[in-house]
Amino acid sequence: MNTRARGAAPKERSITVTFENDGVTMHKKTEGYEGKDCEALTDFIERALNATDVERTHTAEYYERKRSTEEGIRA
Amino acid sequence: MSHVATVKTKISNPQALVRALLRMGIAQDRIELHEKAIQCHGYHQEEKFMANVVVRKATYGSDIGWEKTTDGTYAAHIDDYHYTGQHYNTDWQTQVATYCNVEAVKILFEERNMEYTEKRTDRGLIQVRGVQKEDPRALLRQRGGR
Repeated sequence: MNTRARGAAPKERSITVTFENDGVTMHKKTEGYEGKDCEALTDFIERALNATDVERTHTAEYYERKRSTEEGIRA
Repeated sequence: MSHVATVKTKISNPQALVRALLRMGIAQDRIELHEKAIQCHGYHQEEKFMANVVVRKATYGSDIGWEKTTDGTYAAHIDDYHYTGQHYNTDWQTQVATYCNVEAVKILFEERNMEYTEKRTDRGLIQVRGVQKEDPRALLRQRGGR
């Protein structure tokens, strides 16, 4: 069921990437991506950076409708 | 006796590398980006190497450069005086790699019409946040539509 009120601000989807100073390690946090497509819609970063070691940590929100994940990435 | 050391990197986006070099303070007119690798020179003119991204006459007349390899990443060619000394040493190269990752992610956001901001965390780390609005009308406007 769509509960968004008419005229409400559009939902914000964001990707936050934090870079360690070692030149290879990044941490990615996604917010606002819903459903099973979350990883598919945001893994362009890992693919573009040739990430070889991705550690996914799902937050409590992961299993809720609004999906949020945090990932450590080594390029 | 110096020679040019070759260091394998994870860098795979040449535009991001150029932007990283600019962030490192290298003047834009000294940076070259070539689709096809060109010949460069170390401190001694007989020391030659090929590179796609070049900083000409980086220090004491020697070029430094990055050459695209078969796996799509770029190998750095740096005179060993610079590699072990104070100019373009491993710390410098690590900083370039970090900036390169930052700029590569920003380029990805730009390609997807995502607005982004960059800041430093309390730990001094660079953090880039890209935002994508769901509103399709906003996407159309960003792409020049109505």
